[in-house]
Amino acid sequence: MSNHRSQRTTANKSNLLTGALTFGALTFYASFAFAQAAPTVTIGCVLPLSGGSASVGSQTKVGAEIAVDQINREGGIKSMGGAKLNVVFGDSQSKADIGVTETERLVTRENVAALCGAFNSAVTFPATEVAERYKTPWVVVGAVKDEITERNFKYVFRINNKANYDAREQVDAIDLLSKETGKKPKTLGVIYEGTDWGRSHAANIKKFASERGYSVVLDEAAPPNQVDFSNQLLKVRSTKPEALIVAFYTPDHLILSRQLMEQRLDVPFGIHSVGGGTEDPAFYKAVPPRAVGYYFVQEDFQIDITEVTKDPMILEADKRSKEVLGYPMSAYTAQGLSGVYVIKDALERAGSADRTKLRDALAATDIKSGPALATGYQQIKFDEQGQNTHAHGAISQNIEGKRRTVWPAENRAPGVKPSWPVPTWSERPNS
Amino acid sequence: MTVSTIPLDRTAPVGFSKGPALALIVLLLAAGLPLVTQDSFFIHSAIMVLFFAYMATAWNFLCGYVGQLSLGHAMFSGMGGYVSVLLFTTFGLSPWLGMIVGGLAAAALSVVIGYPTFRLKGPYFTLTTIAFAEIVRIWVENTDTFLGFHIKGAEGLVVPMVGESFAAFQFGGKIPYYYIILGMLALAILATLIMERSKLGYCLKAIRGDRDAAEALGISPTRYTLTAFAISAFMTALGGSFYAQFFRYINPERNMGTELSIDMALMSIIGGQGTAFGPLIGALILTPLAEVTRGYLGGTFLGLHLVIYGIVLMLAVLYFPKGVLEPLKNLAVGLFRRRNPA
Repeated sequence: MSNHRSQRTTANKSNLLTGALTFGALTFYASFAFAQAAPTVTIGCVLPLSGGSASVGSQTKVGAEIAVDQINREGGIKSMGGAKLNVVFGDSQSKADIGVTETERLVTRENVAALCGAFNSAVTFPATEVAERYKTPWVVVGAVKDEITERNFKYVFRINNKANYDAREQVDAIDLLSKETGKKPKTLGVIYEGTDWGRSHAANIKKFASERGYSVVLDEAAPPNQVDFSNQLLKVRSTKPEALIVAFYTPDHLILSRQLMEQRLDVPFGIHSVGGGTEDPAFYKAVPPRAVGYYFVQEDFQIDITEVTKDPMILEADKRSKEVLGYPMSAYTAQGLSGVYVIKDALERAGSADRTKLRDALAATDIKSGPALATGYQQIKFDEQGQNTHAHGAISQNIEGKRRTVWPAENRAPGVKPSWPVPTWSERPNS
Repeated sequence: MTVSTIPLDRTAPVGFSKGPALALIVLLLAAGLPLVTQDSFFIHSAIMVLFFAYMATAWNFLCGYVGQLSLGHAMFSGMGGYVSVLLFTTFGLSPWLGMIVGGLAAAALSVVIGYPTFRLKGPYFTLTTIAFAEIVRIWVENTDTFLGFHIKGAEGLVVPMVGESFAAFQFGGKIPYYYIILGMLALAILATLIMERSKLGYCLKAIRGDRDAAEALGISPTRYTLTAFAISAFMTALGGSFYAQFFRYINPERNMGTELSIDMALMSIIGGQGTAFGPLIGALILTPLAEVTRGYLGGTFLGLHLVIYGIVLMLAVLYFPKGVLEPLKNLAVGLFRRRNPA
């Protein structure tokens, strides 16, 4: 081709017409080369973008968009000649039938190479079946229903936890802190929202507690949207659990935390909350900081990831998240980011947007560094069912007004010292 | 215009006798659709249109003709879905039979609910239906096991895949589902047409017109409305079973939630309640509208598609308070008359 070009260049000097032709030919070649070098790879993401879970869906969407911008800025998919990544979204409205319809549309109309989503287990479960039928890889983001990766599907991969991991992790953290300090609580209490989520979590806690030698002295369900927790707190006072496990969404958690503070109720080994209200950025704006002092919070995201990571992409994503959403990177933003980077990694290795090749590349995923680990994992590797066996949540403790990760030990930043047992109300400063 | 048609038949269908012929043509066209296109997304969307048309027709069977607004019909849909799925997963009973059992259970439930509530009028009846549906939904969401059946609370039920089998209501492609729901819709419209011309239909319209006057003439409002309620609940439950078999997953939030009830009512009202074809027209307009706007706007301008949907609903209610079917008919009749000046 260089030969061709020099010939033309010589001709260029002698004749204006040839010159024009040359320019045309060069542009043609250039555009041809460009078109060949950089096709666009489209991926689809089904998320709840309107309705009850819209806030979560739009945070995940922002995460995915940040990842796509970063990848394209850094030269796209290099093994595909710098192919640009393009992400299209489908709004599931948290409804199974609409999620399925949107999946059909993304696969057959948008011709996506891979899919991600869909936060709600109720949508992800049937929608991944559509993806499996079309032999289109689906990277599950956010949905925790166990069975999603228990159906022998070939095209479904899940980065995050299964539902039953959360309770085990809370008990693991209590075990770890007990082992580190030699001080171990003997009794646990569980208070929770009387819904599917709260009940199944409490059942799992009781199972793990009895296996590890804790006795559960309080097991109390409360209907959602309470106005007063005095009754439950009286029971805490009378049964005196040494550590209290709590599962509530934002409104209930706000009232519970305020009343715990007002009653100066001491629980020696602290309050252990599982996600829900305590992973909502709005929650921390609505409670006085001392009400949530020393709280342990389990969530599918390492809350202080930006303090421990040196990955420039994760740090930039945190900054972009603040610009777009008004608050730092959340669990959902990180999951969106991670999902796209996992697909990108597979595209690099497959060197093709072919769905079957991409599926094989995803199955061989073994990521140990980079922005795909924005949620705080050490590794992403799928078992034969497509479940990431290295998925784990992270548990933070609110130490001196900052939520710092204390479990697992590998995620703990140097210098972070868990407070165990937690100080009593009268020992706390400003109380 | 003869006097006898005024009080009984408010909707006074123009070209009354042409109705069934027209229906047959539409049905044949619909039946031929898969011959024209096998495109999966298109067939899927068509199934959704027919599903909502069917659900709205089932709702219309009672509410359109008796003039009471039920916003709790989703409980029957949920009941149909849950009963057929549980019978299939627990006893291996074919969903074809399971859906009949679910339908009968829903009909029984409707009588239990209907008996005390049909004395209520207007908003009181509506509020009661919402309350009952919400009680059922919340109860299911919080119940793991009931009489030995694993309801699984808010988690929902999964229909296990057993491979392609007519008895198990599981098919590889979408086309069988398309014909099933088309057949169900045709039967539901046929049932409505028959009812319109039967004693039940006349009595219901009389009750809608003036309940007290109807009662004075010896028509028992409770008896006729309960009959219609039971049939409507039965049909709704069959639709719920279809949904469960088609998506192979149901949960209380979607399959018993208020939104489904509202959708059923909306499609009927926009299309023309109290007419056999109104619900079909409503679904034909609203489902593709929702689909197209969501497809084009849902991923980029969050929520805008719902705003547009809402505006269309408001305009429809403002300009076509009796539903879109009536002006459409008048238009058709106008065109017909102009061409054939009598």
